[in-house]
Amino acid sequence: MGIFSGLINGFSIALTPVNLLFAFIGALLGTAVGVLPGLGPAATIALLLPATYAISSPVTAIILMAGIFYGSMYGGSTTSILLNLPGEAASVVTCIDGYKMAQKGRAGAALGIAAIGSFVAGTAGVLGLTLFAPKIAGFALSFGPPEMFSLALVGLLMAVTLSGASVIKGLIMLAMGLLLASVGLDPISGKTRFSFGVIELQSGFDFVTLAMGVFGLGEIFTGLESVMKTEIVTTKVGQVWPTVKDWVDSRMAILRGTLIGFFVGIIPGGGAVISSLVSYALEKKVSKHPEEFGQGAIEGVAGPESANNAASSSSFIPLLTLGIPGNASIAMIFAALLIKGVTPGPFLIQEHPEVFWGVIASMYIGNVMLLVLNLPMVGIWAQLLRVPFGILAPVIILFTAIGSYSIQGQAFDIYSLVGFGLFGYLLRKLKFEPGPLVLAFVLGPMIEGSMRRSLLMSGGSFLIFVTHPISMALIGLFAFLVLGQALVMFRKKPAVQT
Amino acid sequence: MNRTERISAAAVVVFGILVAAYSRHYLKLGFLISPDAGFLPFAVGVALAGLGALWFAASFRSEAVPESGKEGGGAGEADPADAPVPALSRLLPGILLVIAYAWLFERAGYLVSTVLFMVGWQKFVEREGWLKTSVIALLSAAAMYALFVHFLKVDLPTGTWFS
Repeated sequence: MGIFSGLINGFSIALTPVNLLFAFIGALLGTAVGVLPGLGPAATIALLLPATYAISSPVTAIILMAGIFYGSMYGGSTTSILLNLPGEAASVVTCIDGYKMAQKGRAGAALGIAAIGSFVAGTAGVLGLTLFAPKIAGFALSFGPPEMFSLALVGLLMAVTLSGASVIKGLIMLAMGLLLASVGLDPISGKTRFSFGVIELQSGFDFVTLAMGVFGLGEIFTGLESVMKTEIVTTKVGQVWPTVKDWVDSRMAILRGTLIGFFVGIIPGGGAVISSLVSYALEKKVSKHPEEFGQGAIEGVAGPESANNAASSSSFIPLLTLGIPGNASIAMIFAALLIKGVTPGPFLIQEHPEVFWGVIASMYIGNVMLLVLNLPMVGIWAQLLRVPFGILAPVIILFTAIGSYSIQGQAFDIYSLVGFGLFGYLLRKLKFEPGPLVLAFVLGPMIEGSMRRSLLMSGGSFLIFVTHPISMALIGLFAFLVLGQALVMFRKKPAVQT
Repeated sequence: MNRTERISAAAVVVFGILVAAYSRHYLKLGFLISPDAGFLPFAVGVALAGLGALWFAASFRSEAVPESGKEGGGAGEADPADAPVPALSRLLPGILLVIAYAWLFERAGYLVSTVLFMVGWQKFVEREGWLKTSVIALLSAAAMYALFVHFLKVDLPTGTWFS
């Protein structure tokens, strides 16, 4: 089956009333999940996994899950911009300039450009998925442990760049993230690490709990010290259609973000979070006015939001063509496919063309639905946030607490959540950016696994990371960035360094 | 903030040393050809100790130069870290209520713990009247119950005290 006939077949499946309804429900749920802080797409898809038993068609089930996943990328920007609370991890970077724009009365423009950038990038991502999936997947397949380790290092350095003011604090956050990721069972030796006899710690910390604690509860605790939050929640959204100047300023950022997101999203372990970080760092580097970043630069919203949406589309490539889930949300969709008796991988296109093309076609339709849900209705979504802090704060706490509990059904996760919340509060007090911590936590198992496998392959020689061409290129980029950072540190005033 | 930063930096150094020591003695480092479970944590511990020392040293350097202003996103103009006295009157009861909620959740069950938490929050954190407190507590508990139990099909605890 060729691409064109496959796509026609896919649209004939995706346009059935039932599949349209589930694509809409997925987009709606995803947007709500993205808007509401504390409940990420992975947790929501995980919660909805039992529902796949009740849905008879595997295509319909996956259309629903996929809708939640890419819908959350759209919705995630809303809380980042209006509340400085990322609805999910990929929207962390949107807080920096989106929130500043909202404070300056330009919340509507920020939300509008985020939705448009998301639509353009999401649709372009699906187009790329349709056209180039086999070739690009082949390239990603050639990545071995040394390449994965090198790639993760570059991603983490980008995260430190994100931390902005202090490289030292950014590196401390990276180290803390790696350490937290190492808690629990060592997948290679089978030893338990840092569990200290606590049974619940043997499976390690859950990413959702950590993210909800550090970002959600930490922000709430910090907000309790300030009366300013009420003003933020009641910020007017205003005109969402961007001005001509906004368009001119954002168009290249959207294009670059789309390309970055598409390619980073393909690589397992890459995905929406890294692509948004890389996009932000790149926009800051290429900008003629980098000093405006952090103060409400629209490119700082357009680039990362485009990148995370393109990545969410392209992250389906390794899943659908190689059977490799690249991130937690895709892993949930992988599980849903297995529940329905469909094994993702190279044979999926031949054995279940209706699933492969049906899901792809539904993503085109879903992106249009999301644009309608997010652009003209952004004010309605924002109403979710027009609640006084005194009501919103305890409701978010309840949401995160029950959300944490629901993952494994154990109260220990609520204690972990509270612990991470206090940790997040301390980080804010000491002016640490928690973004690199979360990124290092996500990439930690991959970094450790790929490093140890690489050393096994090389007989204990670290030279393996510079003898593999792709890895060498990535390490070269890493060294270049380190030298650049060192130069920046050397030139900056000491006060800014700490 | 320099004193706070120095104490924090020293704590990071001590923490890093403890992590490295624990990793070396209890988890084992293995060999380069086959690193064991303690290899990465040991390296991270050493890195933390080194970074903490750098942070400590940098805090002395920054003392000589006046602050050039806040960078990045952060929480906005009213930076709590710069507040001379933390607003403990709201923060402390807020934190204690969340800890109490975690403790009560499985013991008293979802409904009782959630209503108590919301009542406590509105009375001790927000200082609201009883009528508003009661309405908010009951409505939010009911809404959360409907969402998680009926919509998301999550099994919430009914409470070990009542079973």
